[in-house]
Amino acid sequence: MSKVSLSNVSKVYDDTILAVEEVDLTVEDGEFVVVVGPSGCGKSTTLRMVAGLETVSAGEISIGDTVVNDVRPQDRNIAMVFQSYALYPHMTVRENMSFGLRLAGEPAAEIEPRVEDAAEMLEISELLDDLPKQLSGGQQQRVALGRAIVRDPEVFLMDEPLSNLDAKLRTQMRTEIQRIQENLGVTTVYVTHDQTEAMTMADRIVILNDGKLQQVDPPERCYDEPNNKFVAGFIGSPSMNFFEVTVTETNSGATFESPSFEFTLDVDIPSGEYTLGVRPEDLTPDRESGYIDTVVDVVEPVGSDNFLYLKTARGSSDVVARVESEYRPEVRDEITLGFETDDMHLFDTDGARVPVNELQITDSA
Amino acid sequence: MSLAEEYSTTDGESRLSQSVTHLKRNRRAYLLIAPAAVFLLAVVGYPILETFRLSLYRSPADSTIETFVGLQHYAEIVNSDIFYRLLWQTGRWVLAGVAGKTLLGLLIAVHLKGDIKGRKFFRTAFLIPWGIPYAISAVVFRWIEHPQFGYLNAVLLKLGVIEQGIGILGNPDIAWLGVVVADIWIGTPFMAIIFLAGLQSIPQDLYEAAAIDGAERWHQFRYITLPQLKSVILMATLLSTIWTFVSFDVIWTMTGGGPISTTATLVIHIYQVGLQNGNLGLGAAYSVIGFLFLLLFAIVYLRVYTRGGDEL
Repeated sequence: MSKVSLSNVSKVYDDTILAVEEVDLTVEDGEFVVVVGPSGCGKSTTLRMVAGLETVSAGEISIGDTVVNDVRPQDRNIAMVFQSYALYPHMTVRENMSFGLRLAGEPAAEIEPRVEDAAEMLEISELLDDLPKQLSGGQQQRVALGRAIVRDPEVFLMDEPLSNLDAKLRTQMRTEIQRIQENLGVTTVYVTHDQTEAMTMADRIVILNDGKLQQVDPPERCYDEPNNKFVAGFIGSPSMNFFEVTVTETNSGATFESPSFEFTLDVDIPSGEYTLGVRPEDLTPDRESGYIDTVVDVVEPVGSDNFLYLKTARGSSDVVARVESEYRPEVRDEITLGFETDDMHLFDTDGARVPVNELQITDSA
Repeated sequence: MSLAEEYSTTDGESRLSQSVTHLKRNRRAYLLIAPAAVFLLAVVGYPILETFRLSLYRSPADSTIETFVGLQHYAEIVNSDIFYRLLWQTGRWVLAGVAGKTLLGLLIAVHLKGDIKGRKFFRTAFLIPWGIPYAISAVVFRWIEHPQFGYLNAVLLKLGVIEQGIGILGNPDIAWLGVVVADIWIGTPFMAIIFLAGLQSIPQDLYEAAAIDGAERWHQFRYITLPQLKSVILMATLLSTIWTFVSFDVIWTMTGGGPISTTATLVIHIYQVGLQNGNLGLGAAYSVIGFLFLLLFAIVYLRVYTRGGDEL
C-alpha cells in the first residue's frame, strides 16, 4: 500500500490541447479518492497518467516514495479496472485473473489459492472456468475486479468501472467495491462522471473541470461548501438553482435584486453583483415568508419526493424545487418559494465562493 | 402452432410439410439467390464435374474421339515416380511460400499498426507488389536473379558474400528458392493488409490491461495479438495455401518448371501434360487429385483450428 502524489501535473496533446493543467493531489495510503467531472474534464487522462498509459507532459507523479514519470506501467505495481473491463476474451476467468501472477513467475501452487480466494470474495467461484463471453455484464465486472485484487497491488485504479451496468447492479456493485476496498485497505483512485458514485463511495472527492482542479474535499463538504459555482452546480441532483443578483447593503440587511424577484435578508454582504445559489431541496413552498413567486410548470413524482419544475412569475427563469411527496401542486398553481439564509450560497462574478463566515448572518429569515 | 412446436415434430410426413412450409415462407429469399447459385454452378460446378469425367477418358487434344479408360489414369499416376516428386516439390513450394508470406505479413502489419512516421505512405507502398501483374513481377525477379546482370549478384559480389556470379534459377538445388522469393514478395502485401485489419480490430485496452498486468511486448504479442488474430490468420493462410498451390504464372514465367523440372509443381505438370503434351485425360486426372488434396487440406485445417479453446 502506498500513497499517490501528483505535483503540478499537466498533460498536453499535440502541443496545443491542454487536457490536464497543473493538478496537485495527494492520495493518502489506503484512501479511497473519487475523481469526478463532466466528459472531457481530464479525469481519465489523469488516471491514465498515474497508470503509466499516458506520458506526463509536466510535473511529477509518485507512487510511494518513487517518482514514476518514467516507470513503465508493467513496473508500477498497480492494478486497473477498465470501463470496458478489458477481459482477455480467449482466456477463462481463472486465466484472466491469474495472468498477471503467471507473468510475474509466481509458482502455480501460490497462484491457485489466491485466485480462489479472490473469486470467493467476489462470489464468482463457480464461473472460474467460463469464458468472458459467457458472463453477464455484472459478472464480467466482478472478474475485472478480481483480476485487480488478486495481484495485491500498491494502488487500485478504476476508470468508470460501473458505467456499463444497469442502475440496480450499479448500486449493488458500489457498496461491494467500497466493502472490498475497506477490507483490503488499498489506496484507490476511482474515476467517474456520476456524482452519486462520488458522493457515496469517496473518502474524498476530486472535482475536475476543463483539466483544472476545482475542489478536493470529503463529499459532504463539497456539497455544503462548494468552492465555486461549477462545483455547486455539479454536485447535487437536481442541480443547484442559480440567480444573477445585485446586492445592495441597507440598514436592515441586504437587498437582493434580480429580474425575477426582489427581497431583503437580514445578512451582511457588501454591495455588488453576485450569483445566488439555492439547492432544490432547500427551497420550500412558503407563502408567508417566501421570496420567489413562481408558477408550476411540471410536477415530477419520483416516489420519495416530488420534483417541481417552475418558472418565476417575473422574468420567467427556470427553478427546480424538491419537495415532500405529500405536497403535490397542480400545473399552473402559483407558489412562493422560500429558503433558510444558511442554505444559500453566494458566488462572486468569477464564480468563486463568497464564504459563509464572511456573511455574518445576524438573523435567519 | 408456435415456431418451436412446428420444428419439434419428427415424423417423416410432417418433416416434408415443414420443408414445404419453409420453402414457401422463404420463397423470395431463394428466388433472390437463385441467379447467383445458377451462375456459380455453371462456372464452378460444371468444370469440376467435366474435369472428373474427362479424367476417366483417354482424350487427346488433337482428336474428338474419347476412349473410356476408367481409373487407368489414376493408377498410372500413383504408380509413377514423377507424381511423388511433384508432391514433394509442390509441398515445399506451398510451405515455404505460405510461411514466408505469413511471417513477413505479420511483421509488416505489426509495424504498420504502430505509431511510425509515414505510416500512410508505407501502407500504400506495401500494397504495390500486389497490384503489379504477377507475370511482370516474375520477369522483374528473373532479372534481379540474373547470373550476369542481376542486382542480387551485384550486391552479393560487392559485399563479398560470393566470389563469382551465381545462376540461382539455373541451379537445380536452389532454383525453387529463387522462385519462392518472388512469390513471397508478391503475396506478402495481401497478408499484411488482412493482418493489419485484424490487428486494428483488437481493442487497445486489452494491451493496456496486459501492460498493467506486467506483460512485456513479446507477452502482449504472444497472449493478446496471436490469440485475437487466430481466426484472421486461419482464413488468410488457408486462402494463401490454396492460391500458392494453384499458382502458375510466377513459376512458369521464371523457370517454366525447370531446371530439370525441379521447380515444377502439380499445376505446372498439369499444364505440361494436358495442354503441352495434349493428354487431356491424364491432365484432368492430375487436376482431380490436386482438387481432392486441397479439399482434404481445407477440411482438416478448419477442423483442427476450430477445435478446443486457447490456453496460456
